[in-house]
Amino acid sequence: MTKTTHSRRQFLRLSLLTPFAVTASTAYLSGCATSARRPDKPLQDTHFHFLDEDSAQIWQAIITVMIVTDTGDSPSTDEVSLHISRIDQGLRHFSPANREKVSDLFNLLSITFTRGLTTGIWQPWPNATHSDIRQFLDAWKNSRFQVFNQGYNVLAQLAAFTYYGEPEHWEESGYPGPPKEIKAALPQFKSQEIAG
Amino acid sequence: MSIEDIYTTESGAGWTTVDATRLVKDQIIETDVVVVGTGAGGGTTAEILANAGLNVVMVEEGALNSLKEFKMDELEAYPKLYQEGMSRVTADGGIAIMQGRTVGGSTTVNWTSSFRTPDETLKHWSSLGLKGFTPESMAPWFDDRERRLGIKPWTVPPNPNNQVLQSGCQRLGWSWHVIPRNVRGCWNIGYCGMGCPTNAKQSMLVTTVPGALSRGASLFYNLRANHLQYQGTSTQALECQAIDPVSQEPLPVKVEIRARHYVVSASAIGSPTILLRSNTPDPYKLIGKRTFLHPVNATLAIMPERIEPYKGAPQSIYSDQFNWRDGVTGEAGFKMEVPPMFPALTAGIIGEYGRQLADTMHQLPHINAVLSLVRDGFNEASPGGEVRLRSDGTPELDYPVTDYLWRGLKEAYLRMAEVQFAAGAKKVKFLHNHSPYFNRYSEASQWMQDKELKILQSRLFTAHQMGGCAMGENPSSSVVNSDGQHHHIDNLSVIDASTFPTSVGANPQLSIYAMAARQATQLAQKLKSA
Repeated sequence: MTKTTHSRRQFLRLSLLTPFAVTASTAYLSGCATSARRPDKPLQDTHFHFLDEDSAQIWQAIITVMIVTDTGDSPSTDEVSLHISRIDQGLRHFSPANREKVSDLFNLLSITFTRGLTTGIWQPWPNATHSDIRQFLDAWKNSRFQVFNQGYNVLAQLAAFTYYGEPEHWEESGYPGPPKEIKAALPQFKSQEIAG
Repeated sequence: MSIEDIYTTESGAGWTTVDATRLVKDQIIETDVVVVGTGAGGGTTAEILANAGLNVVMVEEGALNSLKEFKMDELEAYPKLYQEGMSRVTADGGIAIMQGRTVGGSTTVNWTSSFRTPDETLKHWSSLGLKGFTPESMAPWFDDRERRLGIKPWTVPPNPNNQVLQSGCQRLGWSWHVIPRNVRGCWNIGYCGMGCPTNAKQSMLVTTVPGALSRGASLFYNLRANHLQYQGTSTQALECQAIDPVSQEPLPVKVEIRARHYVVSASAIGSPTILLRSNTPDPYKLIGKRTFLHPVNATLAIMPERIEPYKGAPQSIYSDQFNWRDGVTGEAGFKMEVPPMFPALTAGIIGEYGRQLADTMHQLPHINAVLSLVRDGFNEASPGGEVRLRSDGTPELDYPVTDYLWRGLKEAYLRMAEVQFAAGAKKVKFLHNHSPYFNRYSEASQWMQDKELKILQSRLFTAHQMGGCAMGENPSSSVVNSDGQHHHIDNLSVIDASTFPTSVGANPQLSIYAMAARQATQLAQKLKSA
């Protein structure tokens, strides 16, 4: 029981920070907004159902660290765009209460003051280095505060689940997909071309 | 045998199925019985009542997903078929709750394991005062449901993922058995968790719900049972509201159902939620309490041989070696099984990122996973969780993992690693955010024994939700009696896993089917003679 109360208090403390942080970060940004470097290439699909541009930018930064492709590189900008839109699709099906929790998490990560305080990343997301992001993820993963463990789990799960679930990336895990001969025998695939 | 979507082809031509999101104005419906939920409890109950000649209305909050939707694709299936878009977790985020939200409930997405309630559990329940739950009195109901749903031990050789558990147990001299499955004409493909693509799984979606529909029952889906209206000790109406199947936000259309009798079968989290929302008389504050989950932990092995853990019947071998290790009410026992490992699910549960994640994922065809489901609720140090209402009236489950459960989970971690190494694993890791891979059991065992286990770092899951509206003969310690009849409201029953006074100690679907069959048969007799 005490553990739960403790974690709830942590979350509450963070959400209480937010109104103050909005003011503080606005003041901060008005002084140095021009220092934000734009990403090399903008995201392809910004027509999200749930995510806004700020949260998409956070995903863009995080995913390049969370996902390492077959060749050992980060995924391309196009792949990242597609990936973010699939995460967005998944989030549409979350319950209203859980969508709100994810929103809170992204607000915390997008406002300079709360982001800096909780992740150590004070610069805008596009300027964060891979090493900055790794440090933040490891700190949250290993934190003694449940609220950060939970934040890490949500980010890591969404990124990993969605990426490896995408048919384009099945090969990377050696998963062959549903057997073709089975698909050919089933009515729900009849009117469609059987994908290879 | 040709395979077809029975809901959209001729088979279902005469059935009354209503998508509540398509209703343009409020409705009032009168019937003999309304059954809330179409899972193991509700589906079974609806068919038995309809067969008895009663008018039945089924209300389902989830959507009607049937064969045409079942395309063996994780990213499509999980968000659509599971509660809260597969994002349901306990209040502190520590346990991921896998629970169906679709016509057929969890039976549409489960892995088909069908166990009779263990004798130990039935005897324990009888010792708590439950009537009609001795192994002898339940036996005919298990027989009956096994016949209805094609439940038999799986006769096909286990897939390599299950063989790991089997051969590990053989080498260690531990007991193992073949799992009975509710299938007819199963193609042995492995996609049970995404909705059976061949109608082979005898879920409620393709058995009792169609059975009830063909006897004139009607099914309203995308319709949430908001609350029951009481007057004195009698239920007057059930107020329902259409729900957007994607966002789960309420829509304007309301449906009021007036019935002679009301059956709540919305499962362990849903049923207490409806009773709480309805301000149901609860003088001893028992509704929503003692919710059990069979908390699950798991270990991952890299095997030298190809396992292809995404192929074949997902669960066919189990071990009860440690399930009753310290008696029924002693230290927490656990049942060992294996989960199917598809890429999204695997990537989501291992808790890694970057290079480590990629390294594990590259080895997916060689991965074996073993899981343990811990028997909760049999000891006072395991009082279960509590369902509470959020401000929007939806449920949240607070489930503290007690030291007693951590001891059981730690023992389970150790035994799972042991069985995988015995089966020839090259490397094993615990599904824990801090666990590296170990090359030998001695290393793994040392690490685990020294580790203080904590919530959100140990990866925990539940696929079995039970309790919250406990059965019993004493109203000061239970919500309904042994027949599922509410203690304080005359024409209200709860028939589902929420009435179990403890967890089951085995995958619960057959326990629910058999209990529901008995209770619904009694209810039908009562309503017919009234």
